[in-house]
Amino acid sequence: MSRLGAVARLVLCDIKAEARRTAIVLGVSVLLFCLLITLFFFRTLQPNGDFQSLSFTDCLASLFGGMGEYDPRHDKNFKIPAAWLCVCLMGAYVTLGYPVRNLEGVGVKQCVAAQSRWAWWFAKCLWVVICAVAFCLVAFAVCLIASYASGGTASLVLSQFAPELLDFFVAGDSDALTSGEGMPLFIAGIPVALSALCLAQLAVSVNVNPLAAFAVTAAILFLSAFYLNDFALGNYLMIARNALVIHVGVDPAMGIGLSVLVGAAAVLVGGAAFARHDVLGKEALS
Amino acid sequence: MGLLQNEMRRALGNPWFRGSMAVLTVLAVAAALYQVNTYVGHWQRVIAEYGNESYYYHTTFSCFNNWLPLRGANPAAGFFFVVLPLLVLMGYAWSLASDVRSGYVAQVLTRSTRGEFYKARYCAVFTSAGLLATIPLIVNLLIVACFLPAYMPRVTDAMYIDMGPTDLFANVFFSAPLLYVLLKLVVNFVLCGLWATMVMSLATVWANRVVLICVPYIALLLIKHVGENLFVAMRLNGYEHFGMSITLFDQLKGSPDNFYCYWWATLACAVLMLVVSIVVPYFRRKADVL
Repeated sequence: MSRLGAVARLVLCDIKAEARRTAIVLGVSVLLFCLLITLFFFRTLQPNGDFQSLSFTDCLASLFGGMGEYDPRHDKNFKIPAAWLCVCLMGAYVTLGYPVRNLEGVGVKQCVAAQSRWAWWFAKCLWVVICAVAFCLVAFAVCLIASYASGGTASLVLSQFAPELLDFFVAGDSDALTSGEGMPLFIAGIPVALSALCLAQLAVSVNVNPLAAFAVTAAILFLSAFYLNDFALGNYLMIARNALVIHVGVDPAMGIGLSVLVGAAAVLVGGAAFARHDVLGKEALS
Repeated sequence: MGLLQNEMRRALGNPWFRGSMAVLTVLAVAAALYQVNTYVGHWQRVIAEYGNESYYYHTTFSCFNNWLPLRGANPAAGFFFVVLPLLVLMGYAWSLASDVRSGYVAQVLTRSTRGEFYKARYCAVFTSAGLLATIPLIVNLLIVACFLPAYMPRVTDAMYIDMGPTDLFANVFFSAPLLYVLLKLVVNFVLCGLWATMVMSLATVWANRVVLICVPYIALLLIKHVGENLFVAMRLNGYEHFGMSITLFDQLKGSPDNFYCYWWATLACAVLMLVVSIVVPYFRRKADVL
C-alpha cells in the first residue's frame, strides 16, 4: 500500500512539475493539428469555389490517415506519409524529455525517498501514459471542433472524397464509408498504441539515451509505413491500413491487444534494466 | 589548427557518428543488393524466355541507373532518404548544445577566441554530416558497379528511373553519368552539411539537444507536407508548373516526389540554411556560455 502511495505521490509530483512545459507542447500540437486539418479542408475546394463539409472521421484521417499499403514490386516510389509521421513523432516528443531530465535532477533523491527505483519507474510510466492519452484527446477535440466548424457533424463515417484527397485506397464495401460502426475501436486504439510506443521509447530513453529513444521510435514508425504487418505498431495508428478500410488491413482489436503487450513488456524490461542502471555521476543526457 | 584537428577527431570518432554511419551504410548495401538481385532475376528470365539476350534492354540495368538516388522504388533506398536528414543531425550537430551544458565550451573559450572555436566547430559538423550523406552513396555505387555494367544511360531509361527533365543535372546524367555522380555527391555533401550546421547554430538558442534534433526534423516533415498541399492547390487553380521540392527529403534524391526539382529552389534552400547558420550565432555572439 505504501509503495502504491509513493507511486501516486510521484505521479502527482511529475504532473505538477511538468504541467507548464506539457501545456506548451500540447498547445503547439493544437496548432499543428489545426494546420493539417486546414490544409485538408482547402484540398476539398470545388471548381465552383465551394468547400466540402468534413465529418469527425475526415478530420481524424487528415491527422492519422497515413498511407496505403506500399508494395515495391509495383515499382512505385515510396512517398513519406509526412503528415502522419509529423503527428506521431510529435506525440512521441511530448513524452521524450522529462523522465531523463528528472533523473538528472531530483529523480535520484525521489528514488531514495520512495525507497524503491520501481516506484520512480512506475510513476514515470504512468506519467508517459497520461501525456500520450492527453495528446490523443487533444487531437480528437480539435477534430470534433473542426468538423463542426466546417459545417459537418461528429459522424464516424468517412466521406467518399477523403481517401482520394489523402491519397489512400478504400474498399468499396468498407465499413468506414458506410456505417462507421467499427471506427470507435480504431479511435480507442490510437491512444493505446501511442502509449505503447511512448513506453518503449521511455525504456530506451532512461536506460540508453533520449536521442537513441527518438531514433528507435522514428524507426518503428518508418518500418510501419513500409510494411503492412500485424506486428508493426505504427499500422494501428493509420486509418489507411485498417481492416475497416481495406480487406488486408490490420485488425484494431488485435492492435489494442498487441499494444497492451508491448507496453507491459516495455514497463517490465525497462524497469528491470533501470533497477540495475547506474544513475549517479552520468553526463547530462538531454 | 590544433582546435580544428581536435574538433575533427571528436566529430569523426564519436559513437553517434559511427552508429549513424553504420545504419546508413547498411541501408546503402541493402539497396545495392536489392538492385543486383533484380538484375540477376531479369537476366535469368530473359534467357529462359528468349534463349538469348538480343531482346534485352541493356542500358536500363546500367550501374548508373541503379544507383541509390535514382531508385525510389527500392525499399532500402526509400528508407535511406527518410532517415538521412535525422541521422546526419545525430552525427555531431548536437555537440554545441552538449558542450555548452558540460562546460567544455567555456574551457575552450579561455584558450581561443569565439570566432576560432565556431569556425572549427562548423567545419567539423559540416564535414561529419557531409560524410554521412556521401560515403554510403559511394559504397552503394561501388557494390552496384561490381555486378552491373557501366553502360551509358539512354534518355528512354528515364521511364524506369527517378529522373525527370527538370531534375538537377538531368542533362549531365545522360551525357556524362560519372560526372553526374560526382556533382550529386557534392550537392548532397553541401546540403547535408548546411542542414547540420544550421541545426547546430540553433544550439545557441536551445541548449537542450533533444529539442535540437527532434524539432527541426518534425518541422522538415511539416514543411514537406505543407509544400505539397500548397502546390496541389495552386495546380488545381491553373498554375500548371507550380510546385517544387523545398525539403531535403526530395532534394537529396535524384528526383522528388511528384514535383519539380528546380536548381534555383535547391540553391535558395542552401542559401537560406547558410544564412541561418551565420545569423543566429552572430546575434547570440555575446550570450553567456557558462
